[in-house]
Amino acid sequence: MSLTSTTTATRDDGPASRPGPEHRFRRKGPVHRLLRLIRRPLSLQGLLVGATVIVVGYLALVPLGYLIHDTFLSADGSGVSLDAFARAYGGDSHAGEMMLNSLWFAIGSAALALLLGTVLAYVQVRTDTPFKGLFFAASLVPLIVPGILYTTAWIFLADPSTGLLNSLLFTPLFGSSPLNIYSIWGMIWVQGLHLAPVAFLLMVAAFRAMDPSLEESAAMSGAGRLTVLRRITMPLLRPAMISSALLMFIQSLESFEVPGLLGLQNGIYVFTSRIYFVLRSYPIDYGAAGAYAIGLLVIAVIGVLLSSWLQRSSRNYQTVGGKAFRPRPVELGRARAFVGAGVILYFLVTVILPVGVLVYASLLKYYAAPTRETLGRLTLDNYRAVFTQPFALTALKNSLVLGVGAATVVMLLASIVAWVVLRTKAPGRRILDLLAFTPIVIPGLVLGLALAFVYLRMPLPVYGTLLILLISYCTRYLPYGMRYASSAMAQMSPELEESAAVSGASWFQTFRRVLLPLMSGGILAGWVYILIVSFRELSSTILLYSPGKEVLSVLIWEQFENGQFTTLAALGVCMVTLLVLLVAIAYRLGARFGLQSDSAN
Amino acid sequence: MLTVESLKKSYDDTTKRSSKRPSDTGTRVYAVGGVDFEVQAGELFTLLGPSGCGKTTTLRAVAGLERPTEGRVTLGGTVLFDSEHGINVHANQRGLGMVFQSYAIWPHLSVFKNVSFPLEVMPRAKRPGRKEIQERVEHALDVTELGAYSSRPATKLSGGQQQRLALARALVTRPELMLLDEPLSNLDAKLRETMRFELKRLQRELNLTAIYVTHDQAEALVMSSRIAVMNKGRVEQIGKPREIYTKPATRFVAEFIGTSNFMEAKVVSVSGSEVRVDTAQGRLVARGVEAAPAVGDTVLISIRPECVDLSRERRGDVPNEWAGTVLTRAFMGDVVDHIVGVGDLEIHNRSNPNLSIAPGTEVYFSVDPDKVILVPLD
Amino acid sequence: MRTTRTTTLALAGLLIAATATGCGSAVTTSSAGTKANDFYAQIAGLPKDQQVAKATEVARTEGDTLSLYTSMTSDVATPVTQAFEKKYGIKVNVFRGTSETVLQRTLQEVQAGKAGADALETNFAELMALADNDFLADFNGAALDKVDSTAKFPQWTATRLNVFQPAWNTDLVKPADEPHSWEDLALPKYKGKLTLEVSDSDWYANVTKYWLDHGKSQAEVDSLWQDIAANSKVAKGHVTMMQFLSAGQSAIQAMNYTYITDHAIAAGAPVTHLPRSGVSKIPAFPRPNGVAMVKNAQRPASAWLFYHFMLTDGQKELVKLKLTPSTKVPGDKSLQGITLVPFDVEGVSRDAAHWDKKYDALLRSAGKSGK
Repeated sequence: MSLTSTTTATRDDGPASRPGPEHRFRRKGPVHRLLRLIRRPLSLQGLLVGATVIVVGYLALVPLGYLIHDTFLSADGSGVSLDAFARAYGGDSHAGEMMLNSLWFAIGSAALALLLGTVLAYVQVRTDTPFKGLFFAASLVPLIVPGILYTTAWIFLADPSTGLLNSLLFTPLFGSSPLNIYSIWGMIWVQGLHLAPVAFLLMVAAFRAMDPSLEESAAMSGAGRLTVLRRITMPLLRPAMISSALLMFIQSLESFEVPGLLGLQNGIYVFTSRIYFVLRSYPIDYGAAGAYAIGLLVIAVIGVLLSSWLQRSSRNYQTVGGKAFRPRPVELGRARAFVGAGVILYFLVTVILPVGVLVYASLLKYYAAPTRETLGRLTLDNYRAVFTQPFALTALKNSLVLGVGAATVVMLLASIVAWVVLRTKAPGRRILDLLAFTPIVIPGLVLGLALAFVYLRMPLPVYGTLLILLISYCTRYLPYGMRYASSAMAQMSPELEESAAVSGASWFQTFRRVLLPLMSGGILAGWVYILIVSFRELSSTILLYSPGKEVLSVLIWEQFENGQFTTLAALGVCMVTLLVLLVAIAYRLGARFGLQSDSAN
Repeated sequence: MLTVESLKKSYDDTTKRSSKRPSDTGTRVYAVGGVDFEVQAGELFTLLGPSGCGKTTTLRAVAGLERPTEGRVTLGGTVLFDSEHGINVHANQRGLGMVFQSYAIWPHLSVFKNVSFPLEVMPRAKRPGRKEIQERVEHALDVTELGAYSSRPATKLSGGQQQRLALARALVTRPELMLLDEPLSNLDAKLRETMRFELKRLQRELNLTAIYVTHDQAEALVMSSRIAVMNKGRVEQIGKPREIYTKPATRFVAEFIGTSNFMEAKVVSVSGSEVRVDTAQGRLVARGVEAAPAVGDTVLISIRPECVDLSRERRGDVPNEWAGTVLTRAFMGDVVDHIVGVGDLEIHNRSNPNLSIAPGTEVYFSVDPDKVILVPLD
Repeated sequence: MRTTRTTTLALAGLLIAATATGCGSAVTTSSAGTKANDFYAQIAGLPKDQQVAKATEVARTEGDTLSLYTSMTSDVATPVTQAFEKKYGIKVNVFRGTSETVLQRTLQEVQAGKAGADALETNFAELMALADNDFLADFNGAALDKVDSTAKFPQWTATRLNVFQPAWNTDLVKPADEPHSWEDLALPKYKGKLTLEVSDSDWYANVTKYWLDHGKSQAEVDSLWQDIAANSKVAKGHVTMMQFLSAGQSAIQAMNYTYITDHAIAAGAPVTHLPRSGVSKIPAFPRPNGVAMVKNAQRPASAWLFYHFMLTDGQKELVKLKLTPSTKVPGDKSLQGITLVPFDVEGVSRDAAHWDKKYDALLRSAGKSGK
């Protein structure tokens, strides 16, 4: 026999149903903030932020100082001069044409990548599209394949005379070979496809962070799918889109593989191909190289200013409120088949075709278009060559250590800097933002020279160790980490951390337990991105690595220099396999730590 | 006006909810397992239940934001959804108004623009002119007392104001049916109470028909014309608030709504609507029992604390009078609670604060047979 | 406001750079340098038949290791250094980079007074630059006796030769269409089929000088180059180009190194640098790569031994690898059918900037102009 007395105040006390403290805080705001400000310099927060600022400032200023020193100091070292600019841009250097090419190439690639990345991210996060598993591969593989290989694969696919797509698809079907990879369009195509995963990763984070009821309420207001997209979704995602566009624009400006392999054929010169020319002749005109780099810097700064002007109202855009929500996929209905087909097509074009060419090439002794004869000669020799390389294991280990190290350090620094820039009114925070951004335009080789110069003269044991590579990677990828961290932060309402602070959490606790987990989507995406690109970094690595401290990108470069493209293709295939596995594990772990916690209604 | 028939919604492997939860896939999980109800014009119909009971899913299925697996939804003669005939009117063509739990105020638009949006996106043929839009938006803002904030960025509003803005936006198209998804749950306690009456007032004045989703039973009792109590994807009971409270049809309803004393009992005799039962502590008589059980059945007895009539002396002339000892007393301002021990049971009593009996005192209490509720044991 | 910020930035940058430079100049002299110089002087003073024994003896005290910076590709560097290790029991730590990287790294390290490379093996232009700065040490061992005088330079000696010849795909260029002179590349039949490499200004310099020395006027030379450029597309990297040539993406390359072509042939690719007759009349310019010892080396004896090795047993290794050694080695077939003419080392390195500029200008007109 039982008699139960049940009190039924069944309220689910999720984080959502405690608006009280937030509300109270709003009234107490100024006083509280003042208190925090007074406490700040002495606290752990003060130390941490201070240290971060110093580290970031140091990382950015060293190469920048070197660059400015080389560019503006006159040849005899006596004073400031602008001769370097005259050498770089004057005479018959065709500077105007070169700049137009650069801009056109960078804008085109950024636009293509952003378009593809955003559409894919939308389809992946917001719809019930089939083949969701493919997105994972499509978002990683182009990122992993080194630029040299990805571009070469596309040359084999879309060369105007012998490209496989032209000779096997277009000529038999339409009687013409319309694809010409050696054009500005070809360059934009390859670069855009290679960059699309970056846009995809950034935009997925943005979509995940956006409350879907904002779109649903528009649908309930009677707006059709396109109207919702145009008037609600796109404006809300504008901050994320602008910052990814900026990132990809500058990355395209700075990239060399595509303009080097595709542009030179028909004399399409860009900034980086000019820098390459300047740096390969002796005596090296560091001044002129610096002048080009400063040209890039100016364009980048204009881009940053433009983007922050476009985002001036982004504080109103924070879309992650204090509410928990579960993204519900849009049901595509009849469109599902078409979207599915689109996904397959994209996967085919960005992954299957280029990787297919690589796998095919990796089984040959030298590359030749597939015929019955070549198909009969397939061999696994290249894979044997990869695994019997003397430094393969050391290089793999070093690359892993550096990749994981750089990704972790950068994302930590970037999160703190993003917090300082977006959440405080600290004086000079804009300069900090800009500083963290400048390394993006410093060509890898210049960075390598600057670091070697500094650490050769420092009593610390840095030169000739892996540490100098770590410093180099952290510097190079800090700007990318910044974009990931700040777009994650910009979308998060400050109330979340304020309410944590009011509930008695220290700043450090708030940062670690509220901000980082909430930003984890964006941070993980950034971490993965940096891990992958660290594996590829060569231009500063080649100058800074030491015998016995080889990394994978050095091996790739060696295979390329040896002319063993087919061995290189085998190495590329191994790298893709390895990194896909690695990232899959990272995402699994990330998911376990509540990357995106779903909460019930 | 709105009819929902055998509505089902399952999540199975074809519509993965989340790739990160492999355990969900493959098995068929019913969020809503066959729900029927009808909403009359002008009433505020509440879907009440604990989280995860399927109330929000049901509402979203009515809204068209979620595609049910099976069932039929009709609104005033128009079929909105019919799984058999493959009809599914898209959310934006159902002409409903909806207020979201998170308000879903568009942060990139001003207060005015938030409200004018539904009018601006109407099909060209039906779209009102600029002047009319202006008037209707202003009217909607006035009704929700936001007239003064028209040109502000929406994010500069307080929580309560945002809530009213969401309401204004839903009202501005004068929809036949309003859907309210826990609209008050993000407000603090005080504001929530004010807004309850505010919402109720608006609903009456504008003669709105609304479906209201909440997990807060007090809110539901205050505001609703009728309530459907949901549990595990099914409707347990539909009725007016008083019916739900006084005549819970199931143990779940009795437990979920308010506080109650429960005990198991065996039916001794049945005569008309009067039923006598035996409990471990003694005999009880219940009157006005609608579905009378058979003699020998085991039933659950539910007695609300405020129906327990406490007195210091034995009256003798009242039915269902038991003796016991006060164990604890809690003064709560407008009421006072006593816990009375009867054998090894505790009976919860709630009375007028005039009555105050110190713990340890021997007391007697009785229950009006009309207030003794028989709940079928399931 | 914005200008203030930029100025602040610039100043901060300059400050750091200046500090770094200041710190740098303080530590340039090193004890390793004087020790190395003592050794170099000592061994140069010994009778030639005792030098190897002495160097081997001193190398024992240097820890039996050697730091080598080289632009040999790993498929060459690995067997060569392994042969050296086997012979002298000295372990080689190899830094591999492009010749530009080898130069930049060596310059930076020497200027900072940091011990880096003991020995170098790289392209002539970079060695000339280092020798001009007096960063290298003289070698006078017996190994030099076998070396032709044209291969000996102050502070460095040629070890192997990259021979300049056109290369073509035999499936795409029929015997009737094979080029027989550099001038042939200007023929209209190669329109759109020819590829130029972006960094081949040393080839451009040598061909130009050869033409001028053999009776052509400047105008004739210019016109020939214009026609060649009009026939051409531009590519980057000799190895990459050979890959595309093997795959049939391009038909003919104005210039590639014969060893790269030979390697492709060995892999089975349908390419060649010799006409059907087996004898090429096209003047072949051999560009030297050389070996050198670094002045402030930490392990000068090992460096000396490596220098010695590269001119003796190392030469045989190069032949095994189908490269062109700088000395006569039995079994070397790499120069079969090739007509060698002198390569202008001095002139090209003296006027490098001039030739780079002219060649760069020529490339800009590639594929565009043409009559």
